[in-house]
Amino acid sequence: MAMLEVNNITVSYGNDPAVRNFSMTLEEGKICSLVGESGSGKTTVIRAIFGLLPGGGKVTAGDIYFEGNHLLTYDKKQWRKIRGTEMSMIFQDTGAMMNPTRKVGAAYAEYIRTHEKISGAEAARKGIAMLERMRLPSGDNVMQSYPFQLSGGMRQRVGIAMGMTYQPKLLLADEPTSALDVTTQAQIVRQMMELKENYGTSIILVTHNLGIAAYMADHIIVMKDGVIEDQGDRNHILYHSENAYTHKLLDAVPSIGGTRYV
Amino acid sequence: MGMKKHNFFMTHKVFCIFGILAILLILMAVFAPVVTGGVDPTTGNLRDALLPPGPEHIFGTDKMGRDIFARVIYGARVSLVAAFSVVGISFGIGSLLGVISGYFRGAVDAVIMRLADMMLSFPGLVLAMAVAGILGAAIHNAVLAVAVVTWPKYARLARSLVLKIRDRDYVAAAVTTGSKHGYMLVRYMLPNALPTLIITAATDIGSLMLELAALSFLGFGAVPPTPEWGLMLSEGRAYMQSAPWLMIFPGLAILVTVIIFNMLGDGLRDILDPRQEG
Repeated sequence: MAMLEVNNITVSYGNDPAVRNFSMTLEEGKICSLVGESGSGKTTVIRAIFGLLPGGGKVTAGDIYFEGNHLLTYDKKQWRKIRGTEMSMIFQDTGAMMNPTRKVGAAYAEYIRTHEKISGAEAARKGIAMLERMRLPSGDNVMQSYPFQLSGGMRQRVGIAMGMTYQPKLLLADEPTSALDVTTQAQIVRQMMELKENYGTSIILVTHNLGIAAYMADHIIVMKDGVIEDQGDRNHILYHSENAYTHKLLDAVPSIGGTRYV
Repeated sequence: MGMKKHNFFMTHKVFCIFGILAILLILMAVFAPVVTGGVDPTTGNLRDALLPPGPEHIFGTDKMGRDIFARVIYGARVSLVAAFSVVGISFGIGSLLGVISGYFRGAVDAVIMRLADMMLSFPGLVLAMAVAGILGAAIHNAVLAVAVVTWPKYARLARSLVLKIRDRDYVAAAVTTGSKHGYMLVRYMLPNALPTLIITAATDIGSLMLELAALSFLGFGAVPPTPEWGLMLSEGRAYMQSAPWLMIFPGLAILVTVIIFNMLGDGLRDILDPRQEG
């Protein structure tokens, strides 16, 4: 059985299905990318997998299995146990997920201490080590900062560090680079690739940037209006797809001097 | 660190100057017996009644022959304690109820806010007069009366500040990860509202002092022979033309104190909330 299996799910907000008949499987150490325009249901899919559908959202049909466990039957307590340890999520804007009145270090140490019984000092040390492993120089400085004192790229890396603290098997990344400039994007992308190579982390990457998807993913799923429009490996999507919408998306990738870097 | 401390005075001149003045004022009230040289503000000699300011009594004396200087200095005790109590009570109750109201919303919110609306629907001083009138004239009743009409302001402010962040992602994240209500209130809601509330409280001290003086002036606050500035103004009103010093000095005391605390509040706002500067 694959690590993650999503079988034919339909997700509805109220009575309107936002995602219909969505299926995917993900093996260990693989990266799958969901691409599509805004409102195509990409985020809804990974939020359903993470059990974090916003108010009123519900999986009305289908099943989600993670390591053989039926996730849709999980209660709040069970969810809390696997979130952050077995699977974690990186959001588009990690800064929005942090309490602006608390220092990064306080939030990070608290996060660590909800998952294991260690002292505050040990938790802080663990946090700093993790930040430095995510290429954040002077981790103790970052820990002593408020979120607004860090740049967007640094905050995003803090988010990745937090998400990777317990080396989860599955990392869900919801447009982790779209709030960043191109240089920082490249660094974050490289870092996520390292996660896969060094820790064998599987990643589901939601993006509207087909370039990033093509660079990172083993498997690409193109979504439109809540359904899967096209899917396949990088080679298929980039060069052999017959799907009109995939072609449109490919044409939408910006080019520099007539050369397209996809 | 030493460098930083040196710069603090230079960058926050207003706050520092008026902070020092406010501390002096408080020290003056605390050490009133020393400042007045042991003169009792409540006993006088009728032979010395209505003396103009002179070397013996630098602010003059009132109709009972009491030393105005001593009464003004001791009056600072009453006025400062009363004003700080009002601010403390309304700040505490208002912030607490406001934060609870904004966080829980629904029925709790409706009840607290309708209560606040009831208080706000009366002109403040009139309601305070009614409350003080029912409770009887005394300075602590005046404090209670003003606090009753002031807390809704803090409650509404705290509520709006909490509502602003209530639906933010990081609040949802904290709830999802299992934070309890008490923790959410203390760690998330209150710290977000506190700076603005403190600024409001600091700038309120002056105007609340005025309101308390007004109540005393109207006879709903301090009772004779308490030395209180509003009451002194009221007592001196009959002698305004023949002995203007009866009103000039307590009036000046109120003016100076209110200005000091207003400027201090402004200075504090510039430090805590630089967005509104200039």
